[in-house]
Amino acid sequence: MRRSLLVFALLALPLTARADSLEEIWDRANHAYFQGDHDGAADGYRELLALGVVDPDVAFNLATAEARRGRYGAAIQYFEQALWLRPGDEDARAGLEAARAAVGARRANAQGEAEVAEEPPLGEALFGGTSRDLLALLTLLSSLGLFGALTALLFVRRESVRLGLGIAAPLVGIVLLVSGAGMVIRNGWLEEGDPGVVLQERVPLREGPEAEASERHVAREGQRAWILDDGEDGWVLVRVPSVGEGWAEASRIGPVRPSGR
Amino acid sequence: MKPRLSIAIALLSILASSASAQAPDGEVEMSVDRNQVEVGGIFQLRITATVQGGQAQLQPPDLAAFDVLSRSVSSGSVMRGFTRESRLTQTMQLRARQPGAFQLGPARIDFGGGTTIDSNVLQITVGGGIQAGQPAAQGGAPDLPPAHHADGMAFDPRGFLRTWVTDAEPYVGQQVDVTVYLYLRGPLRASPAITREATTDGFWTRDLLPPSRSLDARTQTLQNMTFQVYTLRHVAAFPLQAGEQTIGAPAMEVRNSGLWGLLGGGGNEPLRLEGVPVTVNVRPLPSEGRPDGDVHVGELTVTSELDRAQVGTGDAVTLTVRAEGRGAIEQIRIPSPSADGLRVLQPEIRDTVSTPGGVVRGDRVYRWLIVPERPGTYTLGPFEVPVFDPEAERYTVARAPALTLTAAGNAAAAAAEPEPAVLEAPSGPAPDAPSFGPIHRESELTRSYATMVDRGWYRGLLALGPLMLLLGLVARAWRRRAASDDPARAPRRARKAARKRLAEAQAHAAGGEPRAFYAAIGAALKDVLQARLGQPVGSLTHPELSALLTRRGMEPELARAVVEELEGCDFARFSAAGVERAEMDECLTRARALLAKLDRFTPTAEDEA
Repeated sequence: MRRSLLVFALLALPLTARADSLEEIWDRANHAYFQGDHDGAADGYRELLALGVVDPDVAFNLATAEARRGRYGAAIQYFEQALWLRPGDEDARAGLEAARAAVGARRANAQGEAEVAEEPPLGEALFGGTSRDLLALLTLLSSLGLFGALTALLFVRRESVRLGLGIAAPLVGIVLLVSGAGMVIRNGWLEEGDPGVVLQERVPLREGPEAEASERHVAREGQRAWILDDGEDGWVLVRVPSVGEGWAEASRIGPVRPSGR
Repeated sequence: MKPRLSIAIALLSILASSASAQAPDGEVEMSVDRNQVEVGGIFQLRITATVQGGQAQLQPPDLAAFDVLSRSVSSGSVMRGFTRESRLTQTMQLRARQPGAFQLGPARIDFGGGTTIDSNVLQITVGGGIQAGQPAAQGGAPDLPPAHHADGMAFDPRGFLRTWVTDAEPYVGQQVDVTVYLYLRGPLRASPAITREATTDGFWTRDLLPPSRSLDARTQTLQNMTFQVYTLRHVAAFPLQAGEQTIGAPAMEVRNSGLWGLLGGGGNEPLRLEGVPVTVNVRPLPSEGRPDGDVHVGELTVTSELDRAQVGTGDAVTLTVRAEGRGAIEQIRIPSPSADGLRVLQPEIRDTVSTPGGVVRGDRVYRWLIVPERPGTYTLGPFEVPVFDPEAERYTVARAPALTLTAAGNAAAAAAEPEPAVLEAPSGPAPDAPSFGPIHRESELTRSYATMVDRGWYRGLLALGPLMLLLGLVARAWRRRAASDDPARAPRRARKAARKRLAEAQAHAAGGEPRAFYAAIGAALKDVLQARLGQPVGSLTHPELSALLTRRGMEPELARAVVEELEGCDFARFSAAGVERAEMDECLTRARALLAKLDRFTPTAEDEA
């Protein structure tokens, strides 16, 4: 008995130590933020991400710290990530709007005029605020409902029941269609690449993945960039809507979705 | 059926109408980062418009009284239910052009067709302007020093440096303006190189000239010679201590090529200019009537506020004390409040200083986080700063009245941290981004992110529906196929069951049990019929069964014989009292004959029928 307890304790030790460590980093980063050390706070939150934490609160805090540092591109990236992880988060949505407004204000201060417009596609606008789990559950239930009703129609002879099934089946079918479309959109199964954000005010999009390649376009801070190809040697092929396509340094494009997604 | 259908249609109509009949709506709000500025001061106006379910135009307010330095527009949209919500934020940097009180707004969103929504209205007070005896506005060159004085210069007909101080006998802490001029006989053709700055040790200074500017010349006649005069330095200086304070002599080199250089005899040699030190006799503040504490020299008002007057024990509140006025604002010290039972954290201090009209003014804001550790009523303040007005030469006290804070609840642990919402204070490098935060204090620190879709069981369950339908279709097809089988492939089990029932019937006949006998005969016939037709027949009436058998291709005579035998069995079951054994044997014989014919019967499919 004693030996089994010892084995259990030894097995549990690394897990406990790791959990404490994450909590410590989180507390340290929060403390740094409250002290006004936004650089230290951002470093702490990034450390959590590097340790594999995929959490909307960490993304939100990192975005806020980056915004406080004046790095609005990174702030937009992590506010979007927070929203992707927890759709409908009003704090993150307000932060995202404030960060976009701040990008515009800074650009206007430099140039006199600036416009930052982020109109999501209709699908994203429709389903962007709905959680993927809810859409998946609706899709599952409506699928079972629809196919169950159709199967029952094969065997049931009673007219009243057949009538009820005949009315229910198309309605459930509509729910299945809508929730299924939402699930496809929310999971990005039809997207051309992974969504990203331009992190700096002037990011050249080049002909090829090298600094000597000629410049095709220039993307601006905070713009949405679709990462089409991860490429190699620190370059990514991106398409920036209303700007164009080209190779950019990977460090200047921040992916919205956590790595591994 | 009709009532049910109409209910369903009505429900659908309600759903559709709720989605489409929502009228456009919205709101628009204006805010400024400050509502009191000086002429030339810059402030930020932000207009935020939210429109639900329609298109609208945002009309900013009339800004004729201000210069619009920059303008940015940020827009986005989200769906809320069935409604599209568009948000637009317009941010403008405005510069006050003239003093006065101005009403800003309202801004308006126009939906067309005469439908509009107005924003709030803001009041902007623009103060300052050039007052008598004060230097010119920020960014402008200060007045030239009088020509009949020779102070602060070592006259040289080729050119010289002159240091001019507006007041040679200021009080400690009183603003004096120090200006360094370059006098040249001709125009300056190249940037002069300052080799030694005019030192201002013993003064707290603030530059009154903009960081980037052009050197523009004015002319002044001294000793019957006309000079081009350039303003090199223009600072507000606040003496830190009484006694003689010296502003050091500046030095510079001027390299002027061209005709003037040749005529001046200097050739390409630079003209080296040395200024003279200027002594300022700083007077101490009058001792008569002097209040205790550090005295601010200039003008000052002090205000204070608590973000909440009532709070739970262990919760944090923010105390803000703002000192606003003229003078060395950044030198003001306000002591932290203290009370037994209160934990007061280190204050955050923010200074906003501008120099409208060459006068240094602004505000210093102290923000303390205060955590009551015990329930009770606490008094914070009053907050007082003694002020000396050098023009009127008298003391006053700028005072913000005391505030009362009530804490309720149980005593909190001493180490309780304040709530994040209160800890959040506008700080950081981006002055135009005050709306970020507060950050979240709690997190699950999730290390793996998987939605329902990523789970293996989900895909299995999702496939269950189509699979169910597929199985149903297969089962139905199998049944039809079974129904259309030839006699040779008829289910053996049914035939065996029928033979068994006939054997039972024979036993019932031998035992004198007519009811049981006829029941067994009827059951044997129905079992075989069901097996041949592939569908239940037990619930059918005899006419329905007859119609079904005919529809499925049975010879009418056989169908009639089967139905008549079943009718006979039913009849005999309920009136079996006087049935003879011979009758039962005949019935058994007929049943065997019928079953033999049914074995050869091949039904057609229902659809074909």
